[in-house]
Amino acid sequence: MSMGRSRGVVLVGMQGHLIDVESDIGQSLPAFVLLGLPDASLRESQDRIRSAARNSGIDLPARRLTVNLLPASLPKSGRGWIWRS
Amino acid sequence: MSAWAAEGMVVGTERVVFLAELGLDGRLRPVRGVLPAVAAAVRAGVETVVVSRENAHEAALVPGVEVLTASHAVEVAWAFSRGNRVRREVGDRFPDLDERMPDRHVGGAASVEESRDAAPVPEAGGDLAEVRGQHEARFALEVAAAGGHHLLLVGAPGAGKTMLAERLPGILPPLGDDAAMEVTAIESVAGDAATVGRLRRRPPFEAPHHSASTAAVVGGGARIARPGAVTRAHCGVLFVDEAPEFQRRVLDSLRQPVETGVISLHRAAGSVTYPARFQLIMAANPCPCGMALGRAGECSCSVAQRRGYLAKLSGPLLDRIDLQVQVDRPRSASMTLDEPGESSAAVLDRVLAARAVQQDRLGRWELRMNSQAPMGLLTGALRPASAATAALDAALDRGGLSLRGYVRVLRLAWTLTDMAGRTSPEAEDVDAAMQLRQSTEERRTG
Repeated sequence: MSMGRSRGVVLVGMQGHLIDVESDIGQSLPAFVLLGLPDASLRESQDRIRSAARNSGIDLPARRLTVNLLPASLPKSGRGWIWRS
Repeated sequence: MSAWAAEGMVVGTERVVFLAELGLDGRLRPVRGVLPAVAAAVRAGVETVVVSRENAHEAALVPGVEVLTASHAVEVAWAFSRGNRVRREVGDRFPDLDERMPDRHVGGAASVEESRDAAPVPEAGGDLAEVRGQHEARFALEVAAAGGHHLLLVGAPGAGKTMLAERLPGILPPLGDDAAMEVTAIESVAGDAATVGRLRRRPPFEAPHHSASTAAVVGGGARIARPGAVTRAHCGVLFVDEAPEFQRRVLDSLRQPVETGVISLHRAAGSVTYPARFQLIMAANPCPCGMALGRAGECSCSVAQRRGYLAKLSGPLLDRIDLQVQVDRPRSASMTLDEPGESSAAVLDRVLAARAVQQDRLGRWELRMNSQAPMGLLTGALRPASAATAALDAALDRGGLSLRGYVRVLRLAWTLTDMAGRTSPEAEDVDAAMQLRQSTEERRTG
């Protein structure tokens, strides 16, 4: 199976919302797709995650990586919780 | 992490919350707002969180959570490694992998106990003993501290208004567990420091300069609004020095939070509600030159200037302020300078005693202070004898007092009663409360 999950929290004001993060590694050309209403600062995470993984020695495969943030209806922002790629 | 999980590198991350900023080299950096985020995760049933080392103490403030701290992504991968796969991949880069296992902390009790036992840290603000004379104003300050009432100080420049207000946090009781958690969470989101290491027990003190904008005071910003001074002053003191110099809009924006204890900020991207139950302390000069009180002969302002100056504090705002006191310049050097004032510690003892009485009486309605008592309670179960409130009732009948004012006088009367050690307000308490509320009002309109 090529799917993984982890969790994060998004803060709206003082209220924290639990976010599910799903990742899928597919059989197509290398790409990084981020779904689920990320804002600009969160989109930056795409490059950050690949670099960090490579520099840690655990390279991500050169294939299509789809990351989905749930619930999709909640706008997500910030750099704080992005690293669970 | 979930990408690594997808690859089969790591397992068991489904129910773990990860909170850190990732550097390009894989290093983990601290983030803002870890405390409320972890608290929310725990409420949602999460048992394990992973944070950067710098955020460890903050995350461990939340009871009932297991906190894993790491300074590098590899350490986290190693902790969740499936068999030896991580070691095979990174072994040559991180030969010391075994020593780099993430630290485990159990959130809750220990750190909370520790911060409660620690002696209160004296912060800037000084001791009340440094304030000479000013008996009326000191009394008003003590009443404000005991019952959590809002206070307005009016007086000439140099009379000691600011000095008094800055010493208020020193005579407020330390924050309880729940309040300390709320205040620390706010600090975590809005504070200057990147991370908070311990629960904050001392009530916060916010003193925005009079050039502050509405957004700075109540909170604001594009998209989702950020907390402002009223939220940072939650469970503490918001000191508005030189109040008439503030923009009128800013002052009037305080009306709702003063009454409700929360601030609701709406933007197109969404609305947020921040807690904002603060104690409002305002200081003002009586006129632009500041001399209109006491030695009225020295005032060089025109009548219109004098009227306009305090009129910037709008009626609806003043109506919400329980204590309005005049602060005069000390007159006699020998009398005021030789005799030091009472120390903060002595006043704090009396405040604590008065708070304990309030807690006993109001506890069953889940209230802590007289200033929180709702109207239904004050005119119902806790209504003073009608003989005691005769003068107050008459003021309401004459139209000299709003119904809100009526309730606020009753709250103040209860505080005075508690400080005097009586069980129920008598006529003199109610009269004194009316006096303390109205001493500047007549001067404004007269």
